Amino acid sequence: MMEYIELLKWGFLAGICFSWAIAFTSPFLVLQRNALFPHAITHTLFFALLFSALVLKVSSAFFIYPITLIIVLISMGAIVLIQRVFKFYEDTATSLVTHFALALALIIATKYSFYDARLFSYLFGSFVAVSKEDFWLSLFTLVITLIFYRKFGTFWISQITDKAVPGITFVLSNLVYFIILSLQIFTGIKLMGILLVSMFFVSSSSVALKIASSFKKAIVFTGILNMLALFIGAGFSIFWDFPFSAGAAIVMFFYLLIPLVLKPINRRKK
Amino acid sequence: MRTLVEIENLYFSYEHHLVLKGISLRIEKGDFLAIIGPNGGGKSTLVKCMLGFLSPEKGSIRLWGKPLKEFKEWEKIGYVPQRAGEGVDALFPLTVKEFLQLPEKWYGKKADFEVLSELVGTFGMETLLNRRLGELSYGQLQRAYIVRALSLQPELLILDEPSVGLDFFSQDVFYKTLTKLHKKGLTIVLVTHETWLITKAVNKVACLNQRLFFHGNHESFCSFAGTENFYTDYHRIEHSHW
Repeated sequence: MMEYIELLKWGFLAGICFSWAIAFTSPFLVLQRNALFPHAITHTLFFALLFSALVLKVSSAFFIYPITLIIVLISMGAIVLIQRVFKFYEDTATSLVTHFALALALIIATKYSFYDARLFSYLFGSFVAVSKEDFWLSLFTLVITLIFYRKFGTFWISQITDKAVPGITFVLSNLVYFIILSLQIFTGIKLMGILLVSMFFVSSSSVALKIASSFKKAIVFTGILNMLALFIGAGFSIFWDFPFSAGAAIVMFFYLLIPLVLKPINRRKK
Repeated sequence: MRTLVEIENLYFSYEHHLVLKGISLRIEKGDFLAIIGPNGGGKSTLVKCMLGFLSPEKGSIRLWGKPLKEFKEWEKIGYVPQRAGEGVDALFPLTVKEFLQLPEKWYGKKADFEVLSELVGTFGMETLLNRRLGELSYGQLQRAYIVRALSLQPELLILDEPSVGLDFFSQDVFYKTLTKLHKKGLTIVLVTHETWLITKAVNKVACLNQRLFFHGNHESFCSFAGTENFYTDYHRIEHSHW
């Protein structure tokens, strides 16, 4: 038993930090009808990870983290540039840039070492492969998220209620939001893999938004639902021996039923 | 009389389509100004320029005597946008109470609790405070936006077509409330299509159709003979694009 705990403890600890960090950002994605954005960003992150690991031969997550951030920032700059110069919609520009990054990632994967074990760990994620280093990065991301949510959370909400506010510019708050989102996806990739990490950004928050009576409660519910998926997904993965990411994603899919169950209960209460 | 907004020779165009041509306008303290005009006449664009959302090509805007770029006391302006609450749907979990607190966080200024409570009462929002914003009807949502715009006791209230979508009864209540607020000393700028209002509430009128056709008090507007030209000129311009 102790061996199990020792083996999985960093995965659980990193997962708890990840679950709570995204509870503060993912509801905005759902509300802005931008739920596919994390999936798009994973394409750029995939390129950034392969570029760092296979081309630059960086192995420590501590060093891959800033390199990834720089690449994501460059890709965001490219998205803004395409929007301004070619007058494309934001989602069109995002799609173009992220698919371009994915194409570069495939070239790197083919030209360098296609069967590198890290490639599979990036794609599918691995609960047991989460290290102490990954936990610290997740904790760091959670702290950063909390600090910036306190500072910019109001502006993230305001963009849903107001297109523009006199005297307030949303440029900085948006930039901070996308940087935090990228850091969160980066830390989540080790657990969930590139293919399924975006499920964490969509499922719990959409359900929480349906059942919560206030924004604060929506954040708390999202965090709790993320944690439940983490523990149940890990349980499935251990007992039936399949990837944790698949277990967690399946659990999250069935969260769809929660509002259906809660609705009649609430009606009865009223 | 103190000038709150001073617009001088303002030009603005979207791409190559000129929307505002040499607009000069002053808004004095105590004005209840209606900016009227046809669709595409530049009413909302003028307001957006005044609030710094759009940068004009030419001309200057001064707020409380300061050039727009140097103006920092934005809490002095309450703003209700056109199609307020468009992005808010049933999923949006912000409560009305949380929504009304947003300006405090934007401008770092605490709202006076008594004033806010009075506003909530005036606009009949007491029972709605803990409701989700997404559950409100359009009329209730409009009222929430107005209470929010007034929460920091602004000196100037700008409303961009606020009564669109309200039934006749709600409109009547709404404009009576605005009149009361104006009598208490609030300066109001109202962008509207509803010219019948001019005789009811406002004391000044600006007729805008790319150019400023008229700006003056409501009595002189009633004798203003250019209204017909003001609309036909607009149609002539519009048809020339077809």
